[in-house]
Amino acid sequence: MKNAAHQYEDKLLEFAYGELPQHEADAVDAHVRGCARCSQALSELRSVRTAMATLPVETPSDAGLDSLLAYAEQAAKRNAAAAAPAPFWKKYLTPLMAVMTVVTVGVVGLQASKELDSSPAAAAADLTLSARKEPSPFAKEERVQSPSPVVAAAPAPVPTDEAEAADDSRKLNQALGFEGKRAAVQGKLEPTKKSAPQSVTRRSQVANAISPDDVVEQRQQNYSDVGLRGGKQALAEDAKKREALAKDDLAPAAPLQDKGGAAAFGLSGGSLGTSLDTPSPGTGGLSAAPKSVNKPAPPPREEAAPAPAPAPSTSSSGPRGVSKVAEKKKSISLGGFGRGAEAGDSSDEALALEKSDSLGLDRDAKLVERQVAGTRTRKLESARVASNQGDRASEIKYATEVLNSGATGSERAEVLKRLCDAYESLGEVERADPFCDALVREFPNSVAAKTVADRRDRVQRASPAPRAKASEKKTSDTEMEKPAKVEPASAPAY
Amino acid sequence: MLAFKSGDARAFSTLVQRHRGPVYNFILRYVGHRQRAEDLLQETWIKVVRSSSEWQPTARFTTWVYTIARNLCVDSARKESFRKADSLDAPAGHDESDGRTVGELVADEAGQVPDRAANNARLRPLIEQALTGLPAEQREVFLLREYQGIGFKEIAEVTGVNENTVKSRMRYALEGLRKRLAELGVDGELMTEEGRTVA
Repeated sequence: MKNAAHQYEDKLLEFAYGELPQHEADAVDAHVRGCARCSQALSELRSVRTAMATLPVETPSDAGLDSLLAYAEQAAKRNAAAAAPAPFWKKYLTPLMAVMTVVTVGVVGLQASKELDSSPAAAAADLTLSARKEPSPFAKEERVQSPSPVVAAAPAPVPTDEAEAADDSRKLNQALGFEGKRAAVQGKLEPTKKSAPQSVTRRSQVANAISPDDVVEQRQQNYSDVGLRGGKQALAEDAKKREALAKDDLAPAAPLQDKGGAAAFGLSGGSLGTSLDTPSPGTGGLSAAPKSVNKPAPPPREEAAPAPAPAPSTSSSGPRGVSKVAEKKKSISLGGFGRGAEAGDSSDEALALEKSDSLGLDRDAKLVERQVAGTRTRKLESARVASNQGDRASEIKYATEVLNSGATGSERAEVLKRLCDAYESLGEVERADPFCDALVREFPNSVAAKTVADRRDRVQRASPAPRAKASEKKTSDTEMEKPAKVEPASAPAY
Repeated sequence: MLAFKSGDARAFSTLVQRHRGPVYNFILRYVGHRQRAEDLLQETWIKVVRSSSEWQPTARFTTWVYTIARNLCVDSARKESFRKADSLDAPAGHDESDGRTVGELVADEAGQVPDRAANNARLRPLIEQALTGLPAEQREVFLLREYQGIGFKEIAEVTGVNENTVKSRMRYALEGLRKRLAELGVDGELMTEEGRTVA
């Protein structure tokens, strides 16, 4: 019994607070009614609870309640933001931006790498070509006018001598007021420059497999195109031909198939051959060669008889000397660049020939001039032969004819020397003096002039001018001032 | 609490209105000081807001919030153990209390009838003195079960001990209060005269 009573006594706490199930509560209640001890324990427990329940319920102040609710509201917003699912576009925004950035950087880098790859090749090609070119004003103009990098970088592939020749030609044309024609030629060449974008396109097509050799070959091909057009234009005008030569010496093959092309591009050999024959630095053979194609050959040298002994003259004698003079004359007459053959040779005839040659005018007149020059050369050669044979009269005759035909330069010096010697050998000193004085005055540094001066000193003969009579002296001085204008008819007066 | 976690601020306001008074009374009876009780009450609800993400629907909100409040009270009691704490019998304030105890002030604020208020005013200090005399572990169990209506099983969860320990502490608390009230001259007849029954 005691154990059973303790069993219910342990459940009195839960029974007093109503936490026992209903059937257990009923059992405890039945037990308590019949058990005085459990009834006493339950009564004491209830009396304590009754006493403690007298404590009133406290109400907290509202201080801090508003701030607490505000703080809770902010927290609720954060919870709502955290609980809300991310928008669809936000999930893919960051990866999309990353992909776009990578693609952009890749494209830019690819373009930059292409430029970097092509730049060294172009630079190498420029170096290769620049080694072969001479900067000419035409090339500069092309660089300025053409927007294409290929054309702008394209040099004028003219060798140094040819570039100088072209420059000389340009200067001469400018001096003669012929610059407008060259400008017109340039204007005709403009379409060639405007065709540069085709070259750019072609270059861009092979940009991936570019190499210095490829660039050089491609540029040569471009030049060959330009050269073909230049050759056709050169067939039309001589000035065009020179400019085309200044630009297109790298186009060798195609122009050889037609006559015009040969005239335009077959000049290298002609230039070499002429330069071999003529030591003149003017290299007028560049333009002389094509003219030799279109013009009749110079007249054959009829008096090309060998001269075994050279005449006591400073000029070249014999067949080689004649050939040299003839070649120089040819260079002067055909090329217009042979002025450098002899320093100080700027006679009106040569200038007129150059001018007429540069203008391309009056070819018949030039032919006549050439014939006159040939006749003069032949007569001079006859004078040499007569001198060798001791025929002073014939020598004087031929020399006078040469002098009256307008001989200049070495021919004039030679003629003056022969007349001076011939008259002195005949004892006609007074007739020899004008020619001797002219020789000494016009060619003071020549060996012939020094020889004449020495001979006069040896014979203790004063200068013929002071010894002459007053009237003759006056006439002689007047004529000696302008020996080039001495009329052949006046020569016998001496 | 689920609504508050999903962002409904009004749900939290509802929780505050429902549980703020009982939690405050628990804290006030536990620490025995009004101002400190209000501070702990504010701190308790702030912690509820901050820890709302940690709350799991498997636990009752009442159990969770009393656990927070009880832990704060334990920490506060440890801090106050190093200094002299005002008891319910000590003067409540400097200007408003007029020398009356907390129990007397509570009785006045309740607005009870003069006879009953006079009776409670006579008994209240004795009851509070008996409650204050209980050990902390017995007092918290008694407070949670007697005034907050929390079952022994949930009190075990709040206090972190098993249910039998809670019941044992409750029996010891009731036995201690009965003896203390008997010593103070408060017996069950007084309770009977007021016509109040316990169960």
